[in-house]
Amino acid sequence: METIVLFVVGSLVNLYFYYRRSLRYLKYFQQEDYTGKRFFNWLKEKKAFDRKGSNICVGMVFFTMVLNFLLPSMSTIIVQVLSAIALAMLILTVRGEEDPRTTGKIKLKMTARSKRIYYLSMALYVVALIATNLGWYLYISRESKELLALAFWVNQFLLIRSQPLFLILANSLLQPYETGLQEGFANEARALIKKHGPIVIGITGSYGKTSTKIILREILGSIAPTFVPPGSINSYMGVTREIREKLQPAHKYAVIEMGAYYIGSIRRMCTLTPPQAAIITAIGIMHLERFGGQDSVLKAKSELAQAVPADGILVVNGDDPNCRLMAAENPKKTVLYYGWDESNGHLDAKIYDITATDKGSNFKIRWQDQEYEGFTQLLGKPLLSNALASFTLACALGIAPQTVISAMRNVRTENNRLEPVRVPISSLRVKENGNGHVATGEVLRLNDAYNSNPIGFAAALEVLGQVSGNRKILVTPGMIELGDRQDLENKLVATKAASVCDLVLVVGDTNKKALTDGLKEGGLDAQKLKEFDDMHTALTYLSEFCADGDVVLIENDLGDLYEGEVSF
Amino acid sequence: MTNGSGKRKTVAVMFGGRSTEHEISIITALQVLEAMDTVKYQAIPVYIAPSGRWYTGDPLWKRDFYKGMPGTLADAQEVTLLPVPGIGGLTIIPNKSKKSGFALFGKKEESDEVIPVDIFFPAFHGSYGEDGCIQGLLELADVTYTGSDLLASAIAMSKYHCKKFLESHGIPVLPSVVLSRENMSAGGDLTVLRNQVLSAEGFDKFPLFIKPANLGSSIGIAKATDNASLDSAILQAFKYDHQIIVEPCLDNKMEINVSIMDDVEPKISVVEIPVAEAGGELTYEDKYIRAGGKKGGQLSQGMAGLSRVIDPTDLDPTIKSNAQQWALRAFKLIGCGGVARIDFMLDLNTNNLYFNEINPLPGSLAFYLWSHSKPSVLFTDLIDTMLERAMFTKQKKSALVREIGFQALLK
Repeated sequence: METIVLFVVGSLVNLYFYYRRSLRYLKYFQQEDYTGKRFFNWLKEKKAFDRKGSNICVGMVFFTMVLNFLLPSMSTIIVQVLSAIALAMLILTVRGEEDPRTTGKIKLKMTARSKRIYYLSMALYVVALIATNLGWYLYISRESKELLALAFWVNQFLLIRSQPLFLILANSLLQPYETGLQEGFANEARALIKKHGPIVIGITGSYGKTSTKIILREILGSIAPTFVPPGSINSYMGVTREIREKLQPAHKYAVIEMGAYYIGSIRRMCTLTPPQAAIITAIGIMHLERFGGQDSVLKAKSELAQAVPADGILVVNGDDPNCRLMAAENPKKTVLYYGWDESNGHLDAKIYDITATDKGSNFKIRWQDQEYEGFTQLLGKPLLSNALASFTLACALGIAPQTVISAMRNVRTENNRLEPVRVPISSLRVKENGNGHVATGEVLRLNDAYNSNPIGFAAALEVLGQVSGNRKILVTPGMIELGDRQDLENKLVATKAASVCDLVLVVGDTNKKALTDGLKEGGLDAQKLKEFDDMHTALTYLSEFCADGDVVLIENDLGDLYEGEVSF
Repeated sequence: MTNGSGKRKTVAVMFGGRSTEHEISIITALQVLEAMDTVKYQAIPVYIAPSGRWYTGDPLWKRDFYKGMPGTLADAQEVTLLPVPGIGGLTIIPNKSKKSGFALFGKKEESDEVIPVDIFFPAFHGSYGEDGCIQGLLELADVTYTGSDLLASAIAMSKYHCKKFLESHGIPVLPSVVLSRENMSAGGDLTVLRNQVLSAEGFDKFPLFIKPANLGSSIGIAKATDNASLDSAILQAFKYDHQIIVEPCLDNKMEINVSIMDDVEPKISVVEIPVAEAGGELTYEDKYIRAGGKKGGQLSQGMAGLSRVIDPTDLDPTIKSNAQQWALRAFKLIGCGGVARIDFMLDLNTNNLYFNEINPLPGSLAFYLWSHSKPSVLFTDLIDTMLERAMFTKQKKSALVREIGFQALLK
């Protein structure tokens, strides 16, 4: 009798555990774009399989065995009492965890898809619960209560440990349905593009896609209505949705950012929005983990160049040898190279005399033997390279160069992309748990929290060195997704930082060693190096440390996926 | 009237709309909803979402509703106003998903249900709501509504036409050049437009002011200090309007605002001098954001939250009285109704006063000026007057002879 109670109540508790816990896993699964493989790798890398619940189960397994050995006469009743306590502990443990729908840097968005995955995985889990628990109950003789209890706790341990796998399983089962649903929407979007016929400009590259898109939106939008999916929407489904909801007959241009998620993903996007013109910003070492090598990255990005028709326009970064290679392999009627360094070959548009101030950059562009002087709020060479790419494409579309220059002056810096803002020191504090003393005055905050890469990091350091200010402070968790070059690249950039910075705050564990090694190698005084667990505490420290006139560069801010330890 | 005289009148406060000042309109409307006399009137919120769809319902009273947009729209009832006389209110648009639900149980959905409304109270700012568009619809529906009518709203909202009109009646204005987007070449060449500005009389020196012709709230406004920044400013302003105006920028100036309220004899408020945070022009942030939000806790109060000097004692009495009298004349000449705010520019070098613009539906209905006027008018009473005047105007209009026949056809 008591054993049935244990199995039934225990199964319900375990289900409740799943009901709460799987939402937390779902959040990370969502952040990994519901890619089972990437999510699984994340689980392994972060050792994010359950500990708290399984420890309770393992404890019970241990107690059951020990008691059975030491006190065979009393063991049944003690095991029953302990089991009740253990079940209560399981409930309390999972109840005390945060709700991922309302907490965290990136919250879990309960979309129709995430709900489908959640509910199906729950159903699968119920089946697994019943099948295994019932199986053990029927298999082991009713009389040996201790053995049944032992089997029960071993089984709960296995189930709880395997919980995230149920999400992956549910997602794989739903895949054919999702694909069918998505294709229906995508075909509607295709029909709209055909009907309204905007001139489509595709943008891809390892970095600078979104910035280029935003600058181009400002330029083309000044001339004619331009359709641009907001933010960094660059996936097949994301763009599909935007087209269905927002494309208008009046849109003359459509600027589409295309993300290379896998080989063939850009080709697929080009069937959705066939480009007449394309910009390829860079082919670097970003997201190497997703592709497994630079050749694959090159192959994935080439798909956009291939999709541009022979009479179309191809604008590529002339400073990037890989871009040049790609352009050579995909000849079009108009191929234009932009950049700042002519040693790699001919440049159609060249940017030079860049000077950074605390308001933005002054620059000159040479285009068709003419010199144009301009100004933009954007800072740092990579952003100016993106601006130049947009300039080149807009001119190639027939817009007057002087007007393009004028429109570039209206470009506003995006949040988190080396945005120069003068802020009161107190605003750095995001947590209420500092020691109370907050310095007064203002600092120049260069917020470059968005997705850092080696070139962007180096350029941000260059700007940090150039702008006038008191002490130069760097806050960074380093760069990620760089494959086996990650340690090396972080170390290299840290070496550069050492010569520019008066204080460096290293955030988190992911790149701590590489960064500190590089900083020490670069000759940074040990006193000028501080380590923090997360961005919040680092900034809170700065709110006490900074003085009026300091310059603070925030380079990269990792999502929950990478920052600190997650505990399950 | 659908309601008897002893009953409270239903007032539909309309706000939001397809305008860049959507948010500000929400703030104004919530202030009006809260201040309206509940003994005499029953207020209902009518929100036009950025999509242009109309909604009503109790959730619209709360600020949180707008923070949760567009998801929260599911909690509101979609309605519309048909451009047909005699309907007597807002027509409910049945919710499709609910309808199919009812159909399952064989219940018939009534599609022509009407929420009765006695008076419509537009509380929009900017395009489609302050410029005569909504007023045109309200005229077609033949309903009672507060504020300026179609023509007055349209003239007031076009900065250029309004200035030219008042100038012809002897009210001083700064010179202005109007630019039309049609004059920008297909390739975006700005030479023609730039020359149009620089060749006009009095426009040979910078700085110049560039603004969209039909927008308020400082959006799209920029100061040009040289040819390069003039081009940028023109491109910027054209994003918001097909017509833009360029004015000389006074280097040492002060803004003076006055409000006029329609009544048996229109009333004049005290004058105010709004103060920009950083010195210089009032930006959108100065007007609407800085006043609240940022300091945490405190809610943005729209125009009512701006730092300002009301009824400055050290202002030259002649200037004060000129501003008040010209404001009254402008209000009457344009034919405004309800409450308007008239903004002047004072050149501190020459002490010359210029009419700058008139807002036929000013932010927060300029109630902050009226509570300081003598005699002081409370917001509740200001709304009351607007509603009374709306009913009076409607009565006057209904008394007009309107003969519609088919004699010409039958001859």
